[in-house]
Amino acid sequence: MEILFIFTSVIITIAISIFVKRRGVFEFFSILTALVFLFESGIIALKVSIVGNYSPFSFFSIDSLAAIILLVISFINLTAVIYSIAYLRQETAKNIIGFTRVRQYFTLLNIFLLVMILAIGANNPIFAWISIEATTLSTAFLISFYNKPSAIEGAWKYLIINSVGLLLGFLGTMLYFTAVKLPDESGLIDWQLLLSSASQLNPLIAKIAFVFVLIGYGTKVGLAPMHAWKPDAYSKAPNPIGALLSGALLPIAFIIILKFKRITDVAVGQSFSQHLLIAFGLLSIIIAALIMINTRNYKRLLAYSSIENAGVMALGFGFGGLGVLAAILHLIYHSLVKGAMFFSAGNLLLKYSSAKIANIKGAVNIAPITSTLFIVGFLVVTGVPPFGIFLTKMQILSAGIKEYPLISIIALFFTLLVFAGFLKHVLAMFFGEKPKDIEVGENNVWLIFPPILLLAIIIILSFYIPSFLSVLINDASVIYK
Amino acid sequence: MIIIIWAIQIILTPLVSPLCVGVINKIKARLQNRKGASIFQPYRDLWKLLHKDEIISRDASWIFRVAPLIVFSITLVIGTSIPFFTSFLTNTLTGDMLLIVYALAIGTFFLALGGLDVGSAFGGFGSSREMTLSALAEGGFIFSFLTVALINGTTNIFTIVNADIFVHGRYLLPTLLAFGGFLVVLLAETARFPFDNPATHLELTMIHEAMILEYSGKKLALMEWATFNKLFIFLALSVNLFFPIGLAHTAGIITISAGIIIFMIKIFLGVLFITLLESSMAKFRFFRLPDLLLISFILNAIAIGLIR
Amino acid sequence: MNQIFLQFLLGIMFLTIIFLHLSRKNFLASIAYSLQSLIIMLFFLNSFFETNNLTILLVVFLVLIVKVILAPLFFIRLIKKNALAFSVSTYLNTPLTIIIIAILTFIAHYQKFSPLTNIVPANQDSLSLALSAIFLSLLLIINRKGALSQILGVLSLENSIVAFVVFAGLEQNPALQIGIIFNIGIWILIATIFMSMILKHFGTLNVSSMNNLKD
Repeated sequence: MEILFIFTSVIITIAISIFVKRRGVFEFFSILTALVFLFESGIIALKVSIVGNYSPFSFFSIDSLAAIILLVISFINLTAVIYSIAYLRQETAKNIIGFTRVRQYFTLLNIFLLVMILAIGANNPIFAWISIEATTLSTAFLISFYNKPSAIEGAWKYLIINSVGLLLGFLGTMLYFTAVKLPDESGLIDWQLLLSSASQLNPLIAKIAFVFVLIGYGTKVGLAPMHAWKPDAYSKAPNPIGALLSGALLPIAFIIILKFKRITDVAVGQSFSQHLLIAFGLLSIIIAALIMINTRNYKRLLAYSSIENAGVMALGFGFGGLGVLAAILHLIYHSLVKGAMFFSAGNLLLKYSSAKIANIKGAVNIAPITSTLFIVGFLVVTGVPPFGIFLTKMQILSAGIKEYPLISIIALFFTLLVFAGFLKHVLAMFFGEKPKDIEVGENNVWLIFPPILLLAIIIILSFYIPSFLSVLINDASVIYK
Repeated sequence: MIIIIWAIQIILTPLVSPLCVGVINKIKARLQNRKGASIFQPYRDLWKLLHKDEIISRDASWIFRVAPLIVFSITLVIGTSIPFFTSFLTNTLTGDMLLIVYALAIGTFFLALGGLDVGSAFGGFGSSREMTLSALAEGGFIFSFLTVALINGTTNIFTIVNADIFVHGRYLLPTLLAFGGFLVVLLAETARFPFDNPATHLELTMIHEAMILEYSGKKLALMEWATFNKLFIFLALSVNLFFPIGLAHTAGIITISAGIIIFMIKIFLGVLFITLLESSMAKFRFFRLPDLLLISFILNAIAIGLIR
Repeated sequence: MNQIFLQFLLGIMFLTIIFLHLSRKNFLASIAYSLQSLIIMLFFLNSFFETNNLTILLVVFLVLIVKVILAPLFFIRLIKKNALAFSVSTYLNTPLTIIIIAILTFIAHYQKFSPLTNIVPANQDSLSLALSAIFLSLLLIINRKGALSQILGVLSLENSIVAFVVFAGLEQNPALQIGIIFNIGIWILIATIFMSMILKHFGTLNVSSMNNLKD
């Protein structure tokens, strides 16, 4: 039932954004949808924590990890919608974009939301694939939103690299299907069926298929070396979209990798997929750390931070055991804090009209609240105690130290490097002489409310996890160990 | 009966090759909206040349006198060694594909020597260009034959064309790829577009023509005829070796006539292909030709790799 | 339609991909893609004749309309409207490209991939060929500088994967096919729109001219 509410409200909002001309109407409906989504996903999460599974229809089912991600996405979506409204109003006031663009934005945003929900709950790997391909298509236009040459370039790279990656993922998916011999054509192969026939899978095919799936969906996650589209896409997309891409799309792609990992583990044992995940994770951390030091654009900085965190998550899932629990928690924290950082970065962009680090100076004096939010976000995302990510990173590294000590130490070194690089940029941006010609003070209270909300949730979650959530996390870590 | 078939086989090449070239020129002329010379014009040209005086430079050596004879006789010998319309005339002496490739190479060698012999500048550079292209084309040439040889397990051409069409059907992709590579070599060795323009009057663009620039009279007739023969030989190889359909397996009037007719049709298709190609593209500049030959070589290599 | 005919079709598809690598004119490349999609449609038609599954017939029609007719028409219209006749630029020169094509074909036929190509042992040659087609399409995407050629590369990658799936005996899943058709249709639409945008802003489809985004 709940899911029907969500779907209907999203579809109504899409229809309204297409047909209604009054701005206030579709903004209102977007917020309404976001609230409905939040509420219903809360209910779904509660249900899953009690029952273990939520499957109202045969093609749609949510398990514990999916419920967690659904809840996280709903939060980010709500804050993103609120922020988008305020942000776009600011931009229209500055004449950067016009009304039609705003309408397109909200239409595409809601379509994006719809296919994301479909992707999480898809019971069938093929439907999941189709939904994720649909997310690529709907976000391509959002990335090229500002219609400048660099935005089009970023969107083109995004489109091509992701489409190629997803096609390879599709090939991997089809290879898994070779194990299942369905006599009738009405059978849609769902995850359960695939899991139960996994033992009949030829081990070599399982390995090759998992490699294809990892490369394919890993492109969407942004693991190195398939990360090339991320900095360009994130830096050119409007900031709320960046928050959604990083905070919502990344976990969805990850969960599909994990589902395939489960199937592969049945066929060839755990170590193969774990080693692969560790390799890609470590590579992502190293590459992100090295590039981050020299970046000149703070939105690209956020993209590299995303790559690094995706690497940490991959490490966590690769190490196994306690690492999985920590990785799931890391996933939650990262999505929330990335959202907060993108929002505060958006405020900076509105103030300074430039995304280059060199052009931002003395922000603490210009926009104190935004700066505080960004600095707190920086501390959270690079793993400074006492925030949650510190604990999850330490837990992941300690889970790995016994079996792969060298890798854990290298990972630790590079995460410290990440901290150093990020710190350098933060110091350059926020402290120092403030420029004379920019007016002091925050633009709009609705521009700072969403990041404050997200950071508050993170801080609360760092110390106290509600019981239903911890049940979900524990269940998920057992399933995907 | 066999004697008649052998007689036809021997005289087919020198008899029909000028006709091929005449047809090419006629169709090209038609495509260019001209009336064009008659298709028997090359015969008249050869007749005219055979009855003209020769002028030989003082510096010419015996190579100059001998080269046209060698080149022409080699084309005659090869003309009898490849299957045109029959597949049962086994000829183990000269019917081997490696022999054919290298016999043609002897012809090219003497052609180039003849071009160098009188010491003229144009002959020299014509010969050097020809040897470059020959050297590069040899790879594609051998490898395309090698593909067919590997498929059939023998290098005897007559055995290959005797093989069941099903064999070739199973190996269709390698055969097609090798055929593509061989077409490029055909164009290179017979001095057609895009490698060489047989109708050019500008010495700087000549490759083949430059080598025979100094010849006149009977020797020129032999050289030209040899070129026509070479074109005919290559066309026959390309249509028969890769698509051995319509060859007479037994000696009967009906099968032989059918074989001849089908062969003529296949040759005509080849002629048509060359004509359309020449009418639709320009000659490449010389530095692009090695790339083209390398492509042909690699295509043949891929074809070999695809054989199971 | 027996196996030999299907293998013949797959051989033609392999040749079209090599042709896509070598061709200089965009118009011919679009026609080659149309031919590829026609071959895929014939594969599905053959599957329909074997199973009499109506959804597959629907898939046949969709492939025919979207991939064989509409998509090349889009491209040809774009080519004519913007006079994009030639797409000569590649990162590697032609002989090197061909050598890499040869190497990739040999790799695909190599022993290491035998578990992949032995999914249906009778079709091992075809599966190896489809696998090499996949590699070649990936090379096409990486090697080409023109946006249209990159799009054709992605589309031919999808065709090669579908061909691989068909020969591996997995094409029976109809929802899958309809989903792919839908996806590719929308993809082609969006990619064409993007190409127009690239043309408008950069004045050329040469993607190496899009180098604004650096660190």
